[in-house]
Amino acid sequence: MTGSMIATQRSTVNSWECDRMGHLNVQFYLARWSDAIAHLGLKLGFQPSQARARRIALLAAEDRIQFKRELREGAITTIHACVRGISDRGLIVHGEMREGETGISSAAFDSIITCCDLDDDCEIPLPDEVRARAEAMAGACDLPPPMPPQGGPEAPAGVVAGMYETGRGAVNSWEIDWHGAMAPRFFMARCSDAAAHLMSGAGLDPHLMRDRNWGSAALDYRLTYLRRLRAGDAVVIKSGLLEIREKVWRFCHLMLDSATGEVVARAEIVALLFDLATRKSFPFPDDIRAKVESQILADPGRT
Amino acid sequence: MAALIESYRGAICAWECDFYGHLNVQFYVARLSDAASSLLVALGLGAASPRGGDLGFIAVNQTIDYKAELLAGDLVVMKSGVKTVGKKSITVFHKLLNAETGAISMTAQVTGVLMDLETRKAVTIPDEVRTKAERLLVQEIPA
Repeated sequence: MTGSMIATQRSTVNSWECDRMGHLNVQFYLARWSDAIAHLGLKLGFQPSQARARRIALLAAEDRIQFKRELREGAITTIHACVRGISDRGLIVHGEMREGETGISSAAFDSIITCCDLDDDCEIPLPDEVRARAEAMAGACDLPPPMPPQGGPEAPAGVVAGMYETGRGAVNSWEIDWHGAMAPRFFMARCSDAAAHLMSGAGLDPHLMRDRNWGSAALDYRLTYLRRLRAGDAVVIKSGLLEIREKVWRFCHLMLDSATGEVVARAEIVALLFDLATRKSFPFPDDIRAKVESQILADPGRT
Repeated sequence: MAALIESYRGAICAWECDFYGHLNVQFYVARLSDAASSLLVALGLGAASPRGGDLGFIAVNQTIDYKAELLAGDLVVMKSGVKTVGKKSITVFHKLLNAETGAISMTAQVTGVLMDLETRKAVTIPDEVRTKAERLLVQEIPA
């Protein structure tokens, strides 16, 4: 469903963007989506030169990504995007990534995009012209329904009993984009790394994964950015398990400012295990399931 | 004669910019490499095509003209076409545009030799690839 949508991204999958699973790592889907959002912004009249001069930026407040088909080295990626509507915070946008050679759908995106004053570090209303164009585009797009919630318990608002550390580091200067804050892709990269530690804690350590020739893949990411991160900020990631179903499990990562303990970003993820040879998923084996169930957060509710 | 096809669309990231505050040359070349994949698809040699894993064009010469600098946050589009088709080689043309202004930021000509990826030797361009390449021929290098 890309007929009325705008071409916003086109590139190819490079080998260094692929992970141990032999497919495009999640962070590079988001990298492409961030580029696509900027091109959609240009279509709405949000020009990079003006944004730099006026010290304003269109930034994602929330990214929802559903992964539909893995992408391998050499594949072409294209993204078409459109505005779904306008909310109090800004734009609600939708995008679809396809493998450019076959047209097969690879991922879908739903995001909330806000206009930010970079000097005051706060959300501001959309420029009038951008808003007008967005309203016109929203009426013209033929889009699938908004993605439903992932279902099951949500990630907690703060660290609760049962969560443990899965990452620690600092924001590097080369992770800062033109608007002065860490680009979303680098949060997702940390989530991808943190998942390996979370899996180890749940009995799925790298040795076992290699021995059984298993891989892990995300089906759904919901990323919420609560504060812009600057170069040098020290961060820690705490993670926890939300639920386990037959073939999928859900877990969450909270990124905290190490100095203050403030939650600065949150990820809620649906993932599965698959056989690296057949590329097919399978039900969680009983021994793994038992360990995962013992670690499900008792009261993860967010209020 | 064909129009140029879109072969890349993206944004300039701050970490790709250098001491001079603009896109470093290596990242122009990276985008040429990315754009080549879309041309390969147009030639029937994409990763999903039957011959995609057997044959590939390897770059043997690149000529690049940098015409206007790009800054972090700028949005770009690459358009590409075929300039000449030889027995074993092809020369393609790329034009990188600033999507906001339409200004040409870079033009490049890249000559590639078709290689058998098993033997690692240059081979004659098959007729079906040549036909597709000739459909992408651009009459003259656009300004």
